[in-house]
Amino acid sequence: MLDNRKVISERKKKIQRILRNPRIVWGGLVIVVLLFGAVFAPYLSSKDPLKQNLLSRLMAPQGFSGPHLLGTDSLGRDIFSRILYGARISLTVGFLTVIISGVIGVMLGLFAGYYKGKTDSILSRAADIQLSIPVIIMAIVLLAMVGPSVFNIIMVMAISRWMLYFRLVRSLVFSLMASPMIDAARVIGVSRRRLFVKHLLANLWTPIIVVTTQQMAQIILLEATLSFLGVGIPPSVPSWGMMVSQGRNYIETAWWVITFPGLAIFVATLAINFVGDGLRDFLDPRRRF
Amino acid sequence: MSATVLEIFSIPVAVSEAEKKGFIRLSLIEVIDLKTCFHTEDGVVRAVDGVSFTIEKEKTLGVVGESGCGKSVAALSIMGLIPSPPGRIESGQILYHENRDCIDLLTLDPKGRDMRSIRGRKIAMIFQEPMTSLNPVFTIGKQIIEAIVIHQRLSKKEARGKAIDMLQAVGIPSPGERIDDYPHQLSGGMRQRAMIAMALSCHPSLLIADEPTTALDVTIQAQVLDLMNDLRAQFKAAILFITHDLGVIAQMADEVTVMYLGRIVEHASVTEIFDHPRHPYTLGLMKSIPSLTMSKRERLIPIQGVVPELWEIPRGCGFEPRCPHAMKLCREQSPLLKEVAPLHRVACWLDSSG
Amino acid sequence: MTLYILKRLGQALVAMFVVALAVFLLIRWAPGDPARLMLPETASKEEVEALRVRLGLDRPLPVQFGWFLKDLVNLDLGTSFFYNRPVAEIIGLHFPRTALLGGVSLVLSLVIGIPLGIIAAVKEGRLADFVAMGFAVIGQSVPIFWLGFMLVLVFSIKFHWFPTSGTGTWQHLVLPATTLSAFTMALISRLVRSGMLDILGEDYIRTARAKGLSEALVILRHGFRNLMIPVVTVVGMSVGVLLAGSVVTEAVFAWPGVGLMIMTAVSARDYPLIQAFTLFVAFVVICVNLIVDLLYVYLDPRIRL
Repeated sequence: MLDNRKVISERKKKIQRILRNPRIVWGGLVIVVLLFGAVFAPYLSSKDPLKQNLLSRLMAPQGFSGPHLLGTDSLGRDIFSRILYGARISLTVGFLTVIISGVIGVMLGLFAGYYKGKTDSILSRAADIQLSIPVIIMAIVLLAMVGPSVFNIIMVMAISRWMLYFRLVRSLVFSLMASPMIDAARVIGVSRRRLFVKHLLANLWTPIIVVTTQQMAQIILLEATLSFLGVGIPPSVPSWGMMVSQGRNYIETAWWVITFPGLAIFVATLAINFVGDGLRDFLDPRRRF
Repeated sequence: MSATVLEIFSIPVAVSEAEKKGFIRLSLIEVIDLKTCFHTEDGVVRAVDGVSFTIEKEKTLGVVGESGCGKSVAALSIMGLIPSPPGRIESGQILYHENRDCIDLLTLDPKGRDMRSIRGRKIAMIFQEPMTSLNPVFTIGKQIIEAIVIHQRLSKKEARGKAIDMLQAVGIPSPGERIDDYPHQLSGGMRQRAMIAMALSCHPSLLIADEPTTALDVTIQAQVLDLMNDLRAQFKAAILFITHDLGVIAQMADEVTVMYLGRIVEHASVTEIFDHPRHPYTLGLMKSIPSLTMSKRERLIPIQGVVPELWEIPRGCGFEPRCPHAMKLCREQSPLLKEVAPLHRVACWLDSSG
Repeated sequence: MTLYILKRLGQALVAMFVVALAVFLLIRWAPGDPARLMLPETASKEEVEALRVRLGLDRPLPVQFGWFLKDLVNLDLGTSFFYNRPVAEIIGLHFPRTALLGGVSLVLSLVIGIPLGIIAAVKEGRLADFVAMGFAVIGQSVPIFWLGFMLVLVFSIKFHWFPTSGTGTWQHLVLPATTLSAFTMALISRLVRSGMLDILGEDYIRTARAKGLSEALVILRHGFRNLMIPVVTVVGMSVGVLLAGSVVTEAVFAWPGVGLMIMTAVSARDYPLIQAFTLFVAFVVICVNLIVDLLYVYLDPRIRL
């Protein structure tokens, strides 16, 4: 006999279990630090990330003993503050991309799963074809045509990622639609909108969250790669990928210019992957990782 | 009315009458106070909580009970197939008698060579779902031959011949062709027959059948059960038949053990248990089967309540919450198996005659 | 079964057709004159006119598309104005080098990834599992280009074991291949692990053990054979991943494959080459998917009927 108290304490137990998972804890901690750094960047570093100072170019990292915590790059810009401001870009771009591709993918997935038939076949084929094309190639080609800008990169990445949400939602909706629960709701005469929101989405949001974390990590990597290749975020804006690309010529003389931005990308992606894995562990305990 | 010495010390032991009189060794497997548990996130599940029974040679022992009562776990414990991280056999003995030797299977390493030479060869097991129990990417021939070759030194040709013979024995038509079929090409009944062929191919002395016909149509079920009875006589094997279906028990078993929540509640010969069921649970099971002689007005009487979660097993009698005759004693102490009639044992405080 | 194969072949052709159509339309709808785009800026007015006629830009669209398809089949897709040679030749020159790098990386990923995944599955929950999956997560989180540079920093610059860039000897191959294989190795080991875990939970594994088979035989014979199906899937996926990764890797190590080629083409706005390359990549991907599907037929008897 389920009474409300039992249900609520079950939920509390679940949340406690989530918080006890080491991967979620550590990953989450790192993400919080990154967010903190991104949001409070102007307070954490007095250096202007865009200010070039040719007199102090390529200075080695000085740690806490000098003005430049992680050194400067080839144009004399402080690396530490560039990393902080770069975090803003990477996290914002990543977040917006995930939201856009998520909304598109989930909506299309709902339609495909609910209406089936022709809508489904067309959308599925489109998704399959697009899924096969390596993202980077497509992104490069598209961006070459429309030119690099923050807006463009978000749109291009979103367009290349919707299929994953689509596939997931579609197959889940298929199995949900076949379930007696949905039949019961329809028999009662639940409106279509309510059906979508309350019955279908409510059951979908947990796997969607897991996919979202995975996507976030991949998108951060993708954005960094595209910026590195020069077709992503324009050079005027500090971004981690661009920083690595700008430092490549100095790899022998000034290793820090490449190392730290790349390390930032690595750590951010790793943290998000950890959290995603931890969440998936928890939501589907039979299959970890 | 015979209490053995061991019963006085409250260790339930199943020993057949013939043995007690010092006759020939009839028992093949003696399970003594077996305790198998599983460590899960929600607690320790005592799947088998002090179970003892004997399987006699060339006889069929039927084990009846609801899902989750521990009958499958007991069978897997005999086979040494309990998955080790969550599962553990805590205590007990499983004595396997062969000729004049006797060996406790629980002292063997389940993955070791000794146990493996018994598993499949001396003791074989078939399972409930023949579709998923056979590897879909290998032909049934390959899988049967594998069972043969692992335990016997036969050439490939000889093994194949033997496999075809086995398929013939279980009643599969055109065995010479069917042997190269894949599992999905056979019907459900055929698949189960193939599984039986595979299990009996090394002439084991014990065949454990875990709900082998539950997934089959009723008509096919009857055929497979008849087949099993024939084969038992032919191959001189004992059968440990696990099921929740009393009708099947009536058809197959010589002796019946009723299990509930990991413990044995009643044990008797098949006629005795149908004629004179003693334990309230057994009574409840009997009453909840529809019969042809019922009048239209008679209602089926289900057993009240539900099986409790396995990690909340009560301290006293496991059935007490649902028992219509429950007493205060039942909640406090778990009843022991006592012999209430020749070869008829019950674990219930109501039967204090002993 | 033959019906299935034919169906798949048909689907592949349709997919190729759709991609060709998409590329065709993209060029025609992009701002600017298609003929102008397909020629270098130095081209004369006459050359542009000649190209317009050749492409049939004054003809109705379906006719144009027909000519386009004909050209495609003949592998005649124009001349790259950066390299000043037929596009097909340029791709034909660069691709084998990428194939070499990708091939070696794939082999490396499989040789290490598959055993790692199997061990992780068999020893689920224990130390070996955590370590293996720890590596996997790291492998999937590391930015390829950064990994490349770090390897160069340590092994080329500090230790002088390997050259920093270029091709020629096997030593030139080591660092790029290691860099490129990191992600796929991680991906493969993860998917093998989860595939193996699924398999080990199946009933037929229990039956195999019940027959008395040793644990090793159960895993290697019954488990592995069923594992082939998801492995083939992963390999198919990996081709796309490797292609994408090679763009970056070649940029880092100046490996003269198609990755480097396309980057140059993009910055030079070399549309003939970009267009041809897109079609080429789509073709490769469609072929790989087709091969994977056909392999399924061989591997899974249930499909054959």
